[in-house]
Amino acid sequence: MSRLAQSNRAAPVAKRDARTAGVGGAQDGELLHNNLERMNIDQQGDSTDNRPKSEACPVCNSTKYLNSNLRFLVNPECYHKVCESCVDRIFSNGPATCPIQGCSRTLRKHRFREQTFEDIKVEREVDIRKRVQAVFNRREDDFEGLRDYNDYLNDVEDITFNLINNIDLEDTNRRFEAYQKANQTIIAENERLAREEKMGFAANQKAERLLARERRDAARREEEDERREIEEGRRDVLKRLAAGGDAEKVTKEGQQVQLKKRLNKQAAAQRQQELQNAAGTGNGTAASTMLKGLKARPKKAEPEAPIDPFGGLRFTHKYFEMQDDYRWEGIQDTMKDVRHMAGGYDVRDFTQRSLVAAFSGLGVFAGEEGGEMEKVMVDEKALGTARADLGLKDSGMAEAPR
Amino acid sequence: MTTPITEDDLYRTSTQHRLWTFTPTTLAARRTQTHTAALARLPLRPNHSNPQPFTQTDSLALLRRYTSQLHTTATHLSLPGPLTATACQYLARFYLTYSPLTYPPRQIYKTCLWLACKVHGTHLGLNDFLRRIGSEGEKDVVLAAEFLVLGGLGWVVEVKGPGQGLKGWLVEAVGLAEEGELEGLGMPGEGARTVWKGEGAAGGRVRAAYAAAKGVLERPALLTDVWFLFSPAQMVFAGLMVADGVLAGFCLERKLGPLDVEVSERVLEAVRACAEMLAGFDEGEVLGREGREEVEARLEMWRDPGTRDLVGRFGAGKAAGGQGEEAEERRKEMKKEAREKSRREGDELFGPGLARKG
Repeated sequence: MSRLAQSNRAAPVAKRDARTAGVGGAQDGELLHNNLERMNIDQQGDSTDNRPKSEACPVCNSTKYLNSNLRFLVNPECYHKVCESCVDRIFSNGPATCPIQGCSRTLRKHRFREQTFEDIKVEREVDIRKRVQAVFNRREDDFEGLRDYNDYLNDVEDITFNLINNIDLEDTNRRFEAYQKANQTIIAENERLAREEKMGFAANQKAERLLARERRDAARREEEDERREIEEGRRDVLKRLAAGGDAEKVTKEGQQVQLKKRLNKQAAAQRQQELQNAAGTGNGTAASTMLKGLKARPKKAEPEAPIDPFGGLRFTHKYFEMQDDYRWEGIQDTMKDVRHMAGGYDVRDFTQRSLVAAFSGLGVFAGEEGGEMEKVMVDEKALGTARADLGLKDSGMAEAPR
Repeated sequence: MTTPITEDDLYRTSTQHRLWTFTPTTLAARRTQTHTAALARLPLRPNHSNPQPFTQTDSLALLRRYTSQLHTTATHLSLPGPLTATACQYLARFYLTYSPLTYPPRQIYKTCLWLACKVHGTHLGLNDFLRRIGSEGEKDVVLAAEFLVLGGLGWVVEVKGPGQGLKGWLVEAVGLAEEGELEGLGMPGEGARTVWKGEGAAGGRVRAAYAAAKGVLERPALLTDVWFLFSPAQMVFAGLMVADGVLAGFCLERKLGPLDVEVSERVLEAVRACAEMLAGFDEGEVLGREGREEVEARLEMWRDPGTRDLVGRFGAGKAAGGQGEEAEERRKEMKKEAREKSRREGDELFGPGLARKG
């Protein structure tokens, strides 16, 4: 709470600073220095003939109109727009100062890139955010609670805001670097985690495919083995017959051997199946990581017990048995009466209620549970006659002041 | 893991059993307690030359008279039996908590009927109700006592009676008669209230016994203490015992046969005691008009002055800010204000209503 409140209070101050301290920020030449302010002024100056100027390279004055292949590049150092051929020409021989008049930054060719966003301010903000994210890459699990995580995010946003708007640049950069230095290992670790997460999905798919192929191969091998064995058995029988054994006995023996082998194989397959089932829980989680954002599914839910509206109480009849039909004309007439039965009325409701009323409490006697009654006696004394005027006073009091 | 629940367990959980059932001793003790408490509240003994005291017997007699009056009124209005029973029980229960010395029954008994009507879903308008019982203009009295009566009942409005149970018995007994199980039963004994004299089929006997028992349970049961002492099922069989002892005995025997001997003995004993009370009720015991006036005159001498102004203290008119023209005006104003306020709030929330054409 306090953190959020602070940041709220800080925000307007920061904005005020942005206006006043902007020039100072441009002068101090720090890491993220730029002369956006000047650019703003430039843009304002350009506003009369904005279109042609933005399409033309400020260095060589070649325009897109004449050269449709013209590409503009910017350097995140100062974000000045320069055409591709000028960049080649000026920076091929190593670092050089920015060719734009009044900008004294030293630029390198490899940092030049194409502009992603039309608004150069947005381009810059995105760059800064990327840089900050690369360092402040803590994850939610690193924190004890959501509260801490939110506080951390708030701090990060403060720093980002300062960097973007050039507020307290010196201080902010010091904080930034101090954090980077202090948490190098954690930053690297979190980076690795993020990368792995990204890779994990692809890797899992690959593993799955591999497994499927292995299964197919195994099945094919097994089939072949079986065929070979049958062939062998038959050959064996023939050999023995040729050696002059009793034909019937030999064939029977051969059959038995076959049967035994098959049974063995069945048992083995069953064992294999059991093993796979046992490993099945592991497989389940592997499958679930295939889909991103899935929560770990809880264990197989037990079938729900039927709802018991009476919480374990069962109504039994001590004095009577409900019958399907009663001869009393009150019931018979009602059953024949369309006006009663059309709405789905069940006469047995009436019978049940009446019979329960007839016997409910037949074996219950006054004073059975004496304690309760004694208690009531005392209560009633307090509530009754003895307190008759108390009650009156209360009611009088409740109505008196309005 | 189920716990079996029988009919008896069901009744044990009811408020009637837990709060409003007594043994004869505790009932008497409770009455004495209330009476003593009421006497203790009296500031001074009256200064009459020959102050005849208002005793507990007087209070019981007066109550019985008003119960009877309540019953007659309800019957006259042809209100259903259970409703009448509820109203009478309200009166009886209220006077276990309060004494007639504190709140005379004359002020209370109409409210009991009014409350019972509400509880049983017989919704009469208050004016209509008062017109029917012939006491227009007592609106404030009836309403004033409403809260008081409910408090005296311990906020328990359910009264279980024997009516439905008796019907249940009839349903089963008619089946027995049709199956011929009642053949060979002896004739109803001396003093049985049934009109059946051995003619016709066994079903006739059952129906006659039902009618007689219903009569017994409708009036004498209300004018005695059986409601406080026995469960509705026991009252059912006691009523039948009075109506046709042989038939009731046979049915009870069938029901109690499979039970523990000790328990069945106790049940029989309770039913017999109840039947005795019902049969012993004499219409002549109820106070007549003169008797009532005499007792009420005595009550007037002795009654608690602190609780005299029931309407003034609990009155509905007071709750709404007094009575008379002025109060009426004020109420109207308040109503108007509330309406305005709710309209304004509605406008704030949803914007003003669409302008209507024409």
